[in-house]
Amino acid sequence: MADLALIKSAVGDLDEDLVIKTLKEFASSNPPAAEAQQVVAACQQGMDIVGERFESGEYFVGDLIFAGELLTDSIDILKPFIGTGAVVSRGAIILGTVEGDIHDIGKNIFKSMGEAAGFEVIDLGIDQKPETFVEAVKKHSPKIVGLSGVLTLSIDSMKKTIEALSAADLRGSVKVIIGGNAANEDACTYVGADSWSRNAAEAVKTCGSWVA
Amino acid sequence: MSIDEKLKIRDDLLAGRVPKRVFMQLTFTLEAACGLAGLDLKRAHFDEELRKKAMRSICETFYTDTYPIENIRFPAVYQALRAKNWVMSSTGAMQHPEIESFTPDDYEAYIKNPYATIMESILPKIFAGFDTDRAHASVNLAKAYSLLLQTFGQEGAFEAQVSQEFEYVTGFFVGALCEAPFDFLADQLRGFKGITMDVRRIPDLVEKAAEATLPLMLKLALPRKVNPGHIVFIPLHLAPFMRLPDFERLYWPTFEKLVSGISKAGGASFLFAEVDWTRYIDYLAKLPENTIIKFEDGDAKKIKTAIGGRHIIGGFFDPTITLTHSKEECIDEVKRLLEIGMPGGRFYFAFNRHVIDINSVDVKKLQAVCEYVKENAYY
Repeated sequence: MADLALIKSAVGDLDEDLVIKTLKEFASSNPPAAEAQQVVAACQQGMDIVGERFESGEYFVGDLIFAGELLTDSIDILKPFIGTGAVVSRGAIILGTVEGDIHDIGKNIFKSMGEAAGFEVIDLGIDQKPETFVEAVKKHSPKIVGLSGVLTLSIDSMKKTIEALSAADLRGSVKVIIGGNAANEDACTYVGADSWSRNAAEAVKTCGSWVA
Repeated sequence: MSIDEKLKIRDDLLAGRVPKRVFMQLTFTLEAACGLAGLDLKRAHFDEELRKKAMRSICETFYTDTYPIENIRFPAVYQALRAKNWVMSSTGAMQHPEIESFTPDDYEAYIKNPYATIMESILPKIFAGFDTDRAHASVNLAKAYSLLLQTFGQEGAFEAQVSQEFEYVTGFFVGALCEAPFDFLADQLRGFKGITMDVRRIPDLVEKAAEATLPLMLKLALPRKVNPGHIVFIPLHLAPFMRLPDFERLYWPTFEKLVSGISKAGGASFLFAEVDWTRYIDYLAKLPENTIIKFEDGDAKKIKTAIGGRHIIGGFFDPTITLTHSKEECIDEVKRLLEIGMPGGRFYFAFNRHVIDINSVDVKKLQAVCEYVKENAYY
């Protein structure tokens, strides 16, 4: 069995060499699914440390991007051993950059950290129309909708998207969080979202509180 | 106020003297102009008359001391090049997506000869119109250059016309444009994600690549003969997302050399400090005196205290607050910024970023903000 505490702290420290070396050694032992799932959980706990360090100002956005890549690489190593159906999802999040905006870095960081926290994140991509969000909510019945946008023009699109959810009688069934450079308290109130964040780690924490 | 008085204000500001009134440099994009005029943005991109109508509506609606339109990303040019670094969104806004034109394996060649690497390897990846035989690439370049001259000519003629009509001060920061060497590597070559990986995995190569980029940026910034008043616009991008040791090693040294090099040659730098640079304020304080810095976010008071006696600062005012606050609250925010910024001069009034969507502001309240500064921000 791998050293779970070591994996957790190495992920938290973003020590890529140590994480990958440890996971490859673990994978070479052809581990059972239960053990592989424990290692996945240790990686996720390491991501919690990354989130905490981001919030405390020790880490910055660049570190979150790196952490997302590290987690993706780690899960790729572990995937053949995890098995299917054993991991319990905390629920689905429909995520996308709103119409008119093609930026996706922040959205992708949120996606990585959301998946690390146990959510099933359905990423609609960039520049998505309100109707696309509505259709996705109808299809996947998520608990949360995440609207991303960097440019100030995205505020208007976020508002239209939330209005479209209301018009389709879906607003009451989901929590909506807005994120990205365009998000702030005023924008949150204006567009009719439930919460906002410019910090992916904090946003995932907010989502976690909604499904606790 | 006459154009001569406005020019005197501009000159006093740039020289570090206390001017008669706070200089105003407010900017809107063509997207916002079309929104205000109720015109179709996608059509306007390709129709000079529509663009003029849209841009005029901004001039007629908002007071400012400089030509208020920012429109330099012409889709016809980028489409002729089949560009990947500037593309149109579904609503017609031109945007810079995340691109990667350069892999970690390309560093060695780039460090050895950045110009040749850009010409032979990178440009064909950014512009698909160059990724063909030389004859067709030449035709694509000629088409794009012709469109660039044509559109710039149209825009320039319109700017000259309305600048006379509305008595705008021209050339406040126009002279040249370049990037901090690290930002150039990130924005045009490796992408945000790629450079982030490289900073941790291969920092030695990133450091050398930034050093290799510096002469190219200086060449972009400085003409052979630098005229008095030559100002170089440098939008700053990635530093707020970096850890301090990475910033100190990989970002700051070549950026500082760039700004100092511009200053030594007789020019000045106009920096747009994107996101929040408050934690780097001690570094900005080391830059040559009277560097112009527009701040997107940050602690205005702390920044004014730290560098307000040395540099010319502006920005901070978020025009989207007009959507969510009363007119009085918006004016109060202007008053707060003026109280912080005005003492000692070296302060101008600017939005913290361009207005790119007219629906992201309340037009009447924003008009009131502009009028307030125009009427009240006197020394």
